[in-house]
Amino acid sequence: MNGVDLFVPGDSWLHRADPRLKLGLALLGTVLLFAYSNVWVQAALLALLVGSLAGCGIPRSRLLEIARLMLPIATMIPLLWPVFYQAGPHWFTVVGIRVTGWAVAQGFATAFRIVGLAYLSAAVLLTTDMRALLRALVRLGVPFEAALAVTIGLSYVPRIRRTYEQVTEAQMARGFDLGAGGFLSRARARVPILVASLVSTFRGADILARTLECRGFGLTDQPRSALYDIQWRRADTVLATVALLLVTAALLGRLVLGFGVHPLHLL
Amino acid sequence: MDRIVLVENLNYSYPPLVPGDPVVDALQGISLTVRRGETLAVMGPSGAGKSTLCLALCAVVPHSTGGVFGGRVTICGQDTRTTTPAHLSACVGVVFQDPESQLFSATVEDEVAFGLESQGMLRDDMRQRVDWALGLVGMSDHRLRSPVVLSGGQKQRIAIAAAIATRPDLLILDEPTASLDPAGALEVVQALEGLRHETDCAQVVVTQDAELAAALADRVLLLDGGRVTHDLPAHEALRSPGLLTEHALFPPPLAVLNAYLQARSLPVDWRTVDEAVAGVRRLLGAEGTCRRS
Amino acid sequence: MPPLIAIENLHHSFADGWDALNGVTLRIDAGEYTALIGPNGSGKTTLAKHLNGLLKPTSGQVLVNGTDTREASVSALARLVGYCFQNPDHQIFCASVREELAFGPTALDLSPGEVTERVEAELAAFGLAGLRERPPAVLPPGLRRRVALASVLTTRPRLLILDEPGVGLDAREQADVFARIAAYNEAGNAVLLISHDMGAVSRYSRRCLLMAAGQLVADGPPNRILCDAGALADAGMQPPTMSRLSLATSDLGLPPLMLSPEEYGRALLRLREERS
Repeated sequence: MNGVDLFVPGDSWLHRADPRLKLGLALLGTVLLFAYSNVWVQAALLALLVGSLAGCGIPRSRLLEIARLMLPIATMIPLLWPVFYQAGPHWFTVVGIRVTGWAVAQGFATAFRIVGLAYLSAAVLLTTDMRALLRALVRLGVPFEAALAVTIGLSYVPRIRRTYEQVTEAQMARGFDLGAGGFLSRARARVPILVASLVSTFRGADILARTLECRGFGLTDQPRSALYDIQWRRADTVLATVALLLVTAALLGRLVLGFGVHPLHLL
Repeated sequence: MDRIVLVENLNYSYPPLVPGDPVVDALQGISLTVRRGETLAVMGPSGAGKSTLCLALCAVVPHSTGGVFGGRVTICGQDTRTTTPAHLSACVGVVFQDPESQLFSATVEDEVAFGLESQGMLRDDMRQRVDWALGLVGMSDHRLRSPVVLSGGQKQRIAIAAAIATRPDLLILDEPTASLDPAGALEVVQALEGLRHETDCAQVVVTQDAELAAALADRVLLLDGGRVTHDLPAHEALRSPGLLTEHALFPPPLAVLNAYLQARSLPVDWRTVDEAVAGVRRLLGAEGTCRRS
Repeated sequence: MPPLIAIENLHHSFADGWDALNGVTLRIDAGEYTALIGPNGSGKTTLAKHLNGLLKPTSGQVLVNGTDTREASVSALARLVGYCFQNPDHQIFCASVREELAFGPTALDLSPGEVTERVEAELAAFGLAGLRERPPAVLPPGLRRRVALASVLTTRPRLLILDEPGVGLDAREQADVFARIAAYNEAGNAVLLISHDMGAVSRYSRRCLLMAAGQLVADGPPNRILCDAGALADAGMQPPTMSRLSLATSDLGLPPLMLSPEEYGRALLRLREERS
């Protein structure tokens, strides 16, 4: 396992963009994803998003990982949607449920939207390292303590995962059969692993807290300086302007012309 | 200021972990002094209070741990009852035992600079200081690496660099080599030896390793059951295998050999392998046939 | 008699391409006390994890008591092989010491009477009887390690693997732990000790395996291996102090083995007498 955190180093336009811009783009992207209900628009947005990330040098394995994570929910939604929504021209009937084209389309549109949201949040973390993210949050007005908590928390995710794996091994070595029995007994089998992982993590967190204190964390006598800082460039202004224009156009199209409102038909 | 650490009749007990437990005195009647440039090794059995003493020297005890605190601890002229660990951080650097848990920054240089950022130092000054600290521990080539990918010995060296970056008057190290393999431990010892040459900060090193204490310490403080049992010059303490064994410490092998031969009327006092080799050759009448160890 | 462990040309490569084991062939018999030494990255832990099936061979074969580890589950092998990990906090999770010790034998489907008997035996052997109802997580590190070890011993494995059992313990606690391990070994069970502590290796083990770069480079009595400057240097390790002394004086008639200071002193005095 090579990923020390979610960050993939690279030199693409997205990597070089100011993290504040990336956070803003993620926000705009979220607005776009919620603005449309059309399945083709959602599919296109998702393809555009994944394509951009691939184009920025994010390896396919990483992108597939995210897709795999979202797979269960992304398949459940289109399957269940026709149960709750039955408007529109009848397609076929299965187990007494009236399945319509509109329902299937809406189901898939929602699934694409959720997967798109996952990739959007991942996009920031995949192309921004923690030191840049920390500075971005502080420059945006987040108090240093909170920003540090966020970035340390994020970088702890792989650590906690590693601890969990080590604890799983240790417990399996005691004769613990994790695979046996039904869903409930397997879930219950995870409890000792969770307990041991949490306790280990808390012990480490205690030492971390002391280390932070002993390095002056929380001092308010003088303003905190920073060895590393981010720079807003002209390219970021250009990108921000272009993004805002595109989103405004898209929203106008949706609000005025009704583009992308209907689940199956574009207008 | 010459007297960096002044501990006067320190008593401390932690709040009980499980309510209803009896209160255990972690430290009782501790008094000690550490001067500028001195290295004090704190040694003793598990539970003797060594780590608690370290925490008392950086004001984590009592500020972050609560409990009952008696007596006085003065670090760099400041009373720890009224100074928080963060305020003391300008003149105290701390390195804990576990290399995994005490590094949290994205890059090595951020880790080393954290304490300087807390002091509000200007960026150019910080860059110079980070260079200096990394150079002292031999990690200058790793400035932009993530601390997570480093080996145990490298991680501890970064922790040391981060602790000394603020040029503290006191450096506290709580069992810095306990979690490391011999190669990593050697890296840390070499870094600390280099530090002694380059700075005049006082050092307090908690360790169970008598050979480490022999390499670094001027004095040895032996603790047992929360009390100071001995405060001796290092060479005296580390050449008494009986004393060390009493305190659940492994004596250096040469000290045990010396004691064995001294008990059989051979007044030897070999401090290094080379001295021992020369001495053995002399004893067996084979001087002049030298062989490097 | 068939060996307890039979490893044949074992190779192991991890998913990221790291070749951790490059052709290890090894045989461990019942009741042996073997130490496994080598620098970080030499493959010690990887090799050990093959013995209870946590890792399966990329190529080659590992037989535990005649069973191929590829065909057995970790929980099945856990009946024969006990693994005490380096960090006791990764094993501890129960609300009381007694439950922790009972966990293993209960998972092995032993009768409650048998479980209680084993738990009481280990509580007594480790001096933990007074702490039986305490939560292990709040005990000091030395005691937590004893609890972790005791909880592996209640499963009475025929091979006990220990990964750095002495780290974090003072000399007295280490002596207690190693004494318990020695007693377990004397009862006829095999022990595999992974350790950086050359002193413990020379004091307790009877066979020493030196690993470097995924291969076994030396196999013999510990006092000889720990004095083999060439092999240790190839593995990137420093000989311990007493070995360096023995090596530098071996031309004078002192044995070229790692001796304890007392043994060395005795040999020295004997030689001195002979010469005078």
